[in-house]
Amino acid sequence: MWIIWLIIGLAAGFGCGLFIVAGKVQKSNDLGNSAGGFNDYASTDIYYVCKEDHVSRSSLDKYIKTYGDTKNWR
Amino acid sequence: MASKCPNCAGPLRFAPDQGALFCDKCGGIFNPEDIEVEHRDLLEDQEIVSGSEAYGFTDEGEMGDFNVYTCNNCGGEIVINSTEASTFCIYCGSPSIVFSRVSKFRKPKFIMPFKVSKQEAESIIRNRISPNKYIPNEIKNFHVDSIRGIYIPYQVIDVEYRDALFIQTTVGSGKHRRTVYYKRAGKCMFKDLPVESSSKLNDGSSVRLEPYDLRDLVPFDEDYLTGFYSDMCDLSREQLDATIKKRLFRIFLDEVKKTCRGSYRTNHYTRPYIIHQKAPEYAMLPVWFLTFFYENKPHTILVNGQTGKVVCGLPYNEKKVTRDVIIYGLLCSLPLAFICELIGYGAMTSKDSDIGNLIFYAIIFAVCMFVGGAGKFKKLQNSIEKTQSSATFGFVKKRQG
Repeated sequence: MWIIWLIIGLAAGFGCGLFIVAGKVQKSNDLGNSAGGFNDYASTDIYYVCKEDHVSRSSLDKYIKTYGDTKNWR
Repeated sequence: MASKCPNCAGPLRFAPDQGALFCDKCGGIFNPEDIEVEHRDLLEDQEIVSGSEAYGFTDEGEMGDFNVYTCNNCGGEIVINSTEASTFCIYCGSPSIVFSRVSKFRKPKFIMPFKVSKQEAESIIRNRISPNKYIPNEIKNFHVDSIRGIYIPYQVIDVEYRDALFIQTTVGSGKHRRTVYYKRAGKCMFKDLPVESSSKLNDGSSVRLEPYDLRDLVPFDEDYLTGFYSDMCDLSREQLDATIKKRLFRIFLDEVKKTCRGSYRTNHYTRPYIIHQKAPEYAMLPVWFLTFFYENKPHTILVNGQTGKVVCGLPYNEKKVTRDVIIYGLLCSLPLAFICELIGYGAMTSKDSDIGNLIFYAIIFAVCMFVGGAGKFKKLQNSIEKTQSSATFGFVKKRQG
């Protein structure tokens, strides 16, 4: 029975080891994921002309007909 | 030479720590605005020869993209491609500017002078990588001359962006997972958004260095280029429009996704429309680059020339990492195994407990820990691969000699 606990402990322990070492290696890396985004460049919030949740997939065609002509929105 | 010192006729270079042109010979400091045209050594006064003529290539191909100038200082050959506007003579190191190219090739309206000097960029990079024992020594021992300051061409835009999106997400997990759709049609204004406009660096790497504080932009003067490399904007109107559209769509979509529940899957429809509030303004923004090869793969470290922000995904020494994973693994696993043994022994001696369930939960815990740790390493590997861009490497490498 102690072998089972040893195997479980080893698996969990090496998982911890991977976590710790990956975190240490990652300290020097920075992909700049905090790069310039909406808050840096938008001078207004998004004004929604249509904002609907939980719509059906079949409503796409009607949506395109109503809002697809973005050039001529009022 | 580019601009000559009015005092001693020595070469001037822009010094970020001074914020002005500096003469290494006499120590004179000058504002770029104070340098008169007669103090400029014009490369274009020399006879320009195409690369094909100079080197006898009959195939225009790649060589046809280069022109050969003669350095005013030492007479050495300076080879410049069709978009470079400033460079150095590889023989005497004198900074050289192709003034006519800057004026004819869609002259920039603004430039952001380097605020971070080469020494500061070196210090920033060393402070980032030296403390990390897993980064190979070959990378840590880079030479400061490998760092290159390059002005990147950007278009700064003020636009109204409109789009109609039909977003698909998934919510829940397992048996309860379901697909949800959202309609998001809206518009917003963007102001002073910089969009990179060099075809040679068109891989999104410089976007990661943002944001820049555009209040530091000054009216363009060629003298700011001395001491640095630079490329001019070489995108056609169509290419630029496509780049702008792509950038705006990405920013808009990222903001809209925050209003949708669940994990984003895809967007089924988009109809972007852009209204420019004014013509895009051509500006040059500063970046320090350090490129190197490690195990036959290119890597680049970028430093924002204004803010000092570093972007990098560095490789690691696999032997050291493996050794430490084993050490930390043993240090964690032995106490965990002992705790599990104690709990198991307690369960076995107790009449009411179910040892089978205990083992099951313990196995689940162990598997989660192991998969989680492996996943973290996979994420690390992906982040390293993101900065292994051969486009960026090639863009910089030829300026490193």
